Amino acid sequence: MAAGAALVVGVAAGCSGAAPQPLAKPPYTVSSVRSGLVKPADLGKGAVEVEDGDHGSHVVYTPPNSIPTCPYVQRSEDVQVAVQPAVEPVGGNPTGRFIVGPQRVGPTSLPVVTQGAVVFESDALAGNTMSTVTAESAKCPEAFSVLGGPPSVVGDYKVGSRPFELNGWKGFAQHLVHTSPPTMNPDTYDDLVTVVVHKANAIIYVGYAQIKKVGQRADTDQKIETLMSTTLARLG
Amino acid sequence: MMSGMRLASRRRAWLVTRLAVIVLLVAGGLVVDLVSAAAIRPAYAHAYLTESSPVDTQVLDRPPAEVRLRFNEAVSLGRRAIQLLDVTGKNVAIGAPDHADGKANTARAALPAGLAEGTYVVAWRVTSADSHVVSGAFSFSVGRPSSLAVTVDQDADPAVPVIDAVGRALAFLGVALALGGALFVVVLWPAGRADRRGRRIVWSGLAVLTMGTVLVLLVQGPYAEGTSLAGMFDPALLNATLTTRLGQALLARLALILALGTAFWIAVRAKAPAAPPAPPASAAPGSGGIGRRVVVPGLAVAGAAALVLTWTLADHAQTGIQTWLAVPATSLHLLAMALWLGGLITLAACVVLPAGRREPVRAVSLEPVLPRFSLLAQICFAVIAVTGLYLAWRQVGTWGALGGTDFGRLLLGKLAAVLALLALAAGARRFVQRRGRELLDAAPAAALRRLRRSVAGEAVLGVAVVSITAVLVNTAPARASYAPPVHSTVPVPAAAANTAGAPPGLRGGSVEVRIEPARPGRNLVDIYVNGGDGSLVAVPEVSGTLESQDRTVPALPVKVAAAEPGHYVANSMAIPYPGDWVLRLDIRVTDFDETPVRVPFTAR
Repeated sequence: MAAGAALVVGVAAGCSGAAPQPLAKPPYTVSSVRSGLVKPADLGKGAVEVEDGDHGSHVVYTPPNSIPTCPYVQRSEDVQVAVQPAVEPVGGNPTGRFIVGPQRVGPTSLPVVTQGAVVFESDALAGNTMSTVTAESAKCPEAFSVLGGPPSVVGDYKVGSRPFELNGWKGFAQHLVHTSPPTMNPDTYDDLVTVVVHKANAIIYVGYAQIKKVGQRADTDQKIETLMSTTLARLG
Repeated sequence: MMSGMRLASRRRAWLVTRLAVIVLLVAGGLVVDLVSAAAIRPAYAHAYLTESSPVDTQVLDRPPAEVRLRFNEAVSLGRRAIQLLDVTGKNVAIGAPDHADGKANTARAALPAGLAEGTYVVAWRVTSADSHVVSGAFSFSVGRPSSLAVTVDQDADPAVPVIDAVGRALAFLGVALALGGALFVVVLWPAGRADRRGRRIVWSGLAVLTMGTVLVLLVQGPYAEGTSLAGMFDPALLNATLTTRLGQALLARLALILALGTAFWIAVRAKAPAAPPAPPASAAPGSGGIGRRVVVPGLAVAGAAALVLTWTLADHAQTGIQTWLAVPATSLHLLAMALWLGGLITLAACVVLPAGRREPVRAVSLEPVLPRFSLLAQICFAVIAVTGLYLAWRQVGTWGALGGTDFGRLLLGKLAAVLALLALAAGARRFVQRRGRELLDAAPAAALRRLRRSVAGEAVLGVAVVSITAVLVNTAPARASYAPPVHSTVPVPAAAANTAGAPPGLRGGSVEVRIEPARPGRNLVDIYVNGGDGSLVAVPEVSGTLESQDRTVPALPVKVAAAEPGHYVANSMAIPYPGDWVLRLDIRVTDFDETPVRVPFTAR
C-alpha cells in the first residue's frame, strides 16, 4: 500500500517535475547565459559556488577565460602531437569560470562542476570558434602521462570523446580518467567529463568531476547528461 | 418514459461494447502478431548491403581493381551509385557503376590502377526495389591506413525528401477524393451526378492526384542521385527514373488517371434529377445503353484496382516477407482508405453540411445516402483494421521496434488518430441507426449539428492519418531500422583467472560487453572486466578483433582503449554488414599471458 502510494507520488512528481522553463533564449548575453549555468541547488545540499579568478583549485587546469579542449595535456611529457589544453576565443565575451561543489571533496562527496561560457557578437563567430575547439579536442591523445608537478595531477590519463547533442545545443563530451601511480594513491581515481556545446552565439562548457574508488564504474557521463538537461533547458 | 431511458441505456451499452470489441481486436491482434513475430527471422523492406569487396576497414597490400557491392535485393544504380573519396574528401575518378555479372542485386565500379598508399572511402547510394534510396560508406586502405579528414554527406539537399513526401501525401489525398468521391457521387448518392459540388470534389481529386504523381516523378531523380532540387527537370535524371519500377508505375498511374477521368465524365454526363425522391442508384444509369451500364462501370472498377496497384507494386509491399499477401493486403488497405475518406469528405461537403445548415436554396436530403455511406464505412473500417494489423506486424515485427524506431512511433500516432476517428464514426453511425425507421431529414437541428461536427472531425482526422501515412511510406520500416543494443556477459576462463600473477579479483569474474547500436557502420563498444565480487578489475591490456561467424570476411582489427580501471572502450568498431559476428577479445591478464574471450552477437 505504502509502496503504491509512493509510486503514485513519484509518478505525479515526475509528471509535474518537467524541464524548467527557459530563463534565456538566443541571442544570448553574458548575463542571460550566466543565469542558466549550473547552480548549487542543481547538485544538492551542501554545494557552494565560487568564482575562479585564476588558475587555482579547479579540475580544468586551463586559463579562466578559455574553453577546454584537452585538460592536463600541457603537463604531459610523453605526448607526440602538438595539442592545446584550451582555446582562448577571439571576438567573444567570457562569463568567467565558476566552480560549484562541496567544501570538502572526497570519494563520497558531491561532484565538482567547473563551468563557464563565451558569448559572441555573432552566430558565425561562435560557430567558427566551436569548429576550432572541436578540431583541437580531436587531437587530444587517447592516453598520456604526467610524471611531475603537484601530486594531484601526476599519473595516467585516458581520454575518450563522444558527440553530445541536447535541446539544440551541439558539441562533444570528453571523458577523462586520471589514475595516480599505485605508490601514491592505489584506491581512487578521478572521473571527469567535460561537455562543450554551442548554440546560436554562445559556447558553454561544463566539467563534472568525481572521485571514484578503484573497482567502481565511472558514471560521470550519465550524471552530467542529467545535469545538462536541466541546465540547457534553462538556457532555452 | 422509463422504457425510453432503458432503450437509450441499452443503446449506450451496446455502443460501448462494440467500441471495446474494436479496441480489443486492434490491441489484441497487435499483441498476437507482434509476439508471433519474435520467432520469425527478420526481413527488411529497404535494401541493405550484405557484402562488399573490399571489406570495411580492410588494409590491402595493393590497390583493388574494382569495388563490388552485393545487396539483399535488386537495386537501381544512378550515376553516383559508387564514389571513391581520398583522405581529403576529394573525388577520385572511377569507372561508371554497373551491375556485376548482370545481377540486379549487385553494383561494381572499376578503380584506377595507380591508387596511392593511404585510406579511401567508398560512398554508395542506390535505390531499393521499394523506390526508397539507401546509402552508406565504408573505408579501405592501401598499404597502411592514413587518418581520414573526410565526412560523407550524401543527402545534398534536405528539401528533396520533403518535396517527395509532399508529393506522396498529395497523391494519397488525391486518390481518396477521386475514388471515394466518385463512388459516392455516382453510386451512393442518387442526386450526386447532378451536384456540381460533388463533381468538383472528384475532379479536384484527380487534379491533386496528377499533381502529386508528377511531383514524385520529377523529384525521384534528384532523390536517387542525392542532388539538389534543380535536378528535377534534368532530362537524364528523368530518363533514369523512367527506367525504374517506380517511374513506370507513376507513368501507368498518369495513364489510369486519364482513363478514370474519362469514365467519370461519361458517368456524370447524363445528370440525374437534382432533388429527391431519386431513383435507386442501380437504376440511375438506366437511361444509357449497355455501354454506360456495364462497360463503363466495369472499366472504372478495373481502373481503380489498377490505380491502387501502382502504389503497392512499387513500395514496401513488394519487398520483404510474404509479398504474395502483402501486395493484396496493402492494395485493399489503400482502396478501403480511399473509398472511406473520399466518400466522407464528399458526404461532409455536399450533404451533411448543407443539410445541417438547412440551406434554403438547395433541398439536400440525408436519405438514402447516409445509411448507404454508413454501411460502406463499416466495411471499409473492417478491411482497414484487418489489413492494417497485418501490415503493422509485417513492417514492425517486435515490441521493441514499435517504441524504439521512428516508424514504430509514427505507427502508434497513426493508430491513436484512427482510434479517435473510430470513436467519432461510432457516434455518426449511432445517429443513422437511431433514425433508421424515421426520416433522417426530420432529425432535430441540434442532432444534425452534432452529426455535422462529428463528420467534419472525422474528415480532419482522416487527412491527418493520410499525412502520417505519407511520412510512414518514406520512413525505413521498423524491422529494418530497429537495432537493439547488444548486452552480453561472458565468464573469464578459470585457467586465465588462476594464472600466477593475474589480478586476484579476476577469479569467478566475467567480461561484460555492450555494443551500440549493433548495426552496420561505426559502433561503440564498452567492455567491463568484472571481478567475482562485481567490482571492476584492471588488466594490463585488452585488444579486439571482429570475426564473421561463417569466416567469409577476414578478421577485422578493433581498436580498444582503456577508460577507468577495468573499463575498456572501442569508440568506432566498424561492422561491415548485418549478420552474425563474433567480437574476440584478447585479455592480457599478466605481462605474458593472455586469454581469448568470444562474444557472439547479431548486427541487424
